Amino acid sequence: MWQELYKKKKISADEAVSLIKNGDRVSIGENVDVAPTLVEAMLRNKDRYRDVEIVHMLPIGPQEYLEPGMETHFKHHTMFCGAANRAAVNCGFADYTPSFYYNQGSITKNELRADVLFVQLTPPDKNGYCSFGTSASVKREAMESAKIVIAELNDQMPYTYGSFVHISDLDYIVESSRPITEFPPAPAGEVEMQIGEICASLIDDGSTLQVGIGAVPEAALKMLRGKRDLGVHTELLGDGLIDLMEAGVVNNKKKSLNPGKCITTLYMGTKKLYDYIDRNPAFEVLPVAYTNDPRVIAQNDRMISINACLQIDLLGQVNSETINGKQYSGIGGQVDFVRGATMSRGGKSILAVNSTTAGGKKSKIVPFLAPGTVVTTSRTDVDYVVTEYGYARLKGKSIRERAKALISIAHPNFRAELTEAFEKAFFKL
Amino acid sequence: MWKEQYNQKKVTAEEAISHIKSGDTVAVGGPGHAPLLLVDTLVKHKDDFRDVTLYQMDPREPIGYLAPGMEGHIHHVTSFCSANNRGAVASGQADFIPCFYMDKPELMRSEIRPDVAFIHVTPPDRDGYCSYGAIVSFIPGLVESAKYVIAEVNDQLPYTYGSSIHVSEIGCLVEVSRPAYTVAPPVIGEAECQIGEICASLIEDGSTLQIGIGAVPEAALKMLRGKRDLGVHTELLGEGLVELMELGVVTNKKKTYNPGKCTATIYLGSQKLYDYLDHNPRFEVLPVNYTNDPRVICRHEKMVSINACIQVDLLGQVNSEGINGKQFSGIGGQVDFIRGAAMSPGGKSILAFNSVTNKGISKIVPTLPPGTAVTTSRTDVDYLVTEYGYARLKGKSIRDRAKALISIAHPDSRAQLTEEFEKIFFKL
Repeated sequence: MWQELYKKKKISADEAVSLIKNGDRVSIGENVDVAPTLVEAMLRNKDRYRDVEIVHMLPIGPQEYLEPGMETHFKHHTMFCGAANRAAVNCGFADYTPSFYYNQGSITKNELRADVLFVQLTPPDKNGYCSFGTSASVKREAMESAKIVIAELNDQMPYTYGSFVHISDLDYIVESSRPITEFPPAPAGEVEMQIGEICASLIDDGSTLQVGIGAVPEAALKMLRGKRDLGVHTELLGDGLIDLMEAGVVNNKKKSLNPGKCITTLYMGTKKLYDYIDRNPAFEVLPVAYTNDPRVIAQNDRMISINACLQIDLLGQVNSETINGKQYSGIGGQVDFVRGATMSRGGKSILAVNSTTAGGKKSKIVPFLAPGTVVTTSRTDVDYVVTEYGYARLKGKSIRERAKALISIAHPNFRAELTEAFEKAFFKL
Repeated sequence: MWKEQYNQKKVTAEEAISHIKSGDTVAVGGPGHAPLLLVDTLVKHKDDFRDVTLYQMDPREPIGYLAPGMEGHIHHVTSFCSANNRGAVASGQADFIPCFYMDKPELMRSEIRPDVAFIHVTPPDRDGYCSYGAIVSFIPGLVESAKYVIAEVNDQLPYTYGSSIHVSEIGCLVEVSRPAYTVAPPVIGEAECQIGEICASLIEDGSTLQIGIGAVPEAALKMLRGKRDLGVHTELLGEGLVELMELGVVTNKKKTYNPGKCTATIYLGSQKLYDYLDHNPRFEVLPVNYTNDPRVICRHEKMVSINACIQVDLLGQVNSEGINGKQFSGIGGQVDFIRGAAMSPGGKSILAFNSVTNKGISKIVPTLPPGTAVTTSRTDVDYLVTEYGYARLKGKSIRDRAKALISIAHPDSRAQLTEEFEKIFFKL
């Protein structure tokens, strides 16, 4: 039955992109799930389009639509900046909409509702269901709201559990066979290992973790090998967690919500990860409206979130997304998890950061954020801050105690000038 | 039975404060409604103590513990500023702890850990339960975490439902008879009426409201007289809401959570308000970790929160607590309700403010001055209202946010705001 539907819906990539009309909004997927065959076909046919608005999160894959000369064909709208679209956002060519990750399903359905959706999925199983593969994120909301849903069914996409769609709910099908983009773990240096060790010291056995990717979170994961009975409820699951599962450290036994399973909304890693999660019943990939909802996160007792940030001022205000007033990344799920962990029984949120940048010339702990800087996590939300010099707990602390605690974990070369700047602006410490 | 206990526990204020030792932490509730006799007696006998920490949130009544000569005797810690302690916080004499209002009971348990709690309650009912009167706030959390509880029992407080304390849970008590703390109705000007009207246009029949006190919220309430079946789940309940109840506009019938009742954590208004609330079963005053928990707030469908702010930058970052880098008020429940309303089906959060200060300076600014605390992040903020209209920021790009904010700024400052934005960011 569904096999007939499948045959009827199957078209070529070039036929598929001919469905795009001038002025349409085209949503192309996100991260490693951007539908590559369809994006390539759209770019190949660019001369057919005027003012097509492309929507995505962190784009990985072909991005020629951002290059000079594309302005008449494509506009661009994103909810997260990466290396590819940063310049376009900051010169105003691309639009950036700030949003909590948990809320992006709602924005996808409403403010950024697509005319045409590209969605990358696995081929159907015996009953006609395609798995969402390496991400759930906002796929369901996007498919429910887009006028035309074009699926790229990639036979190299891992078949994951938790989220799926039936062939009958797709409008058109394009087949492909392409390796999934790999994201090798970031190499951790000595400083990252020190930060990781301090993070690990704050984590009790039996905790449930949300850990991002990047050098510091990956280092923290390496330091957890001596722990027991950890669980995972996260946004983005990478290779580091697989090592902990194989070592028996992560077993999800003590989770108070969804015990026995790792819950995430995205996978990003190497082929080893993608092979590991393929038809693995110990993993579920669920919509971000679920994984990142602070009300859900808080139902995990002893929930620990570990995220990175770019800058923190002496009041405790955290900038995780802008550099010199320019959008560098996005809000992502940091605030979702900081809030959820705060409301969890025994929960803790940790923001981990190298004390310096620019080869040690600049402190990431600053007296004040520069004008035009975005406060991602407010001083009232922030709890633990970790650098290679230790941790500062800010929740429940006065302005004076916060400043002192933050200065104590700043690089020693900057402590005196931070104290001086604070005392000049506020009062004696 | 409890009557005997009551008589045994009854002492003079001087005897009561003899339970405090040097080095102790004493905590008092707030905003307003403080057990003033106990605080004043402590201040009067300051020479008997060294290094007492006195925590009080939003001290609205006159306080003596910040006067010259208190150093070394009483150190003040707060988490919300009023005219009384603002200067002391700015100079560093007093300490300020930034804290969401919903988290203050936890602040008591984990950080303040009071040795002694000062509370203000009604005389006991026939079973020995004293009502918390016009303020519950974080006081149940304070009582649970304190080693010793001293109550000022005041027969002029309204007896309210929702939260109470039994005589057996009190260490000692002092009887007083003093009118409850009142606030005068605000002066509502033309601009406030315009802002109120725009807020009202965003509110559908059947909504549940959180609305503060002050000129703008009170003006918004006056503009709601044509609505139907509104409900109330709020932090602070004042005069204006009671008028809407008397008019049959607030019925609480359509509330999807706690239907039939107004829920709040503090009452602030005139004696007339307190008389209305006295033994009134349609009102419940509940702990702030309940009323302000976003998980509770979002169970009210069509939840609308209306709060005020001091400054907004063109990214949509909101400062609701500082002026020129100095702590002016506090975080309060603004963020609690904004998050709750954002998660409520059909909910909306509104921040309403005059487009200019009383000196004519635009409250919409290109960037916040250095040292300013962002109370509500640009990702949390949704509707902003001035007398020139409303801007909806949720789901909007950086460019659309700036344009929308400039469109509700005072016309005299619009050109300059556009220019500054384009200088820092890109062409609008």
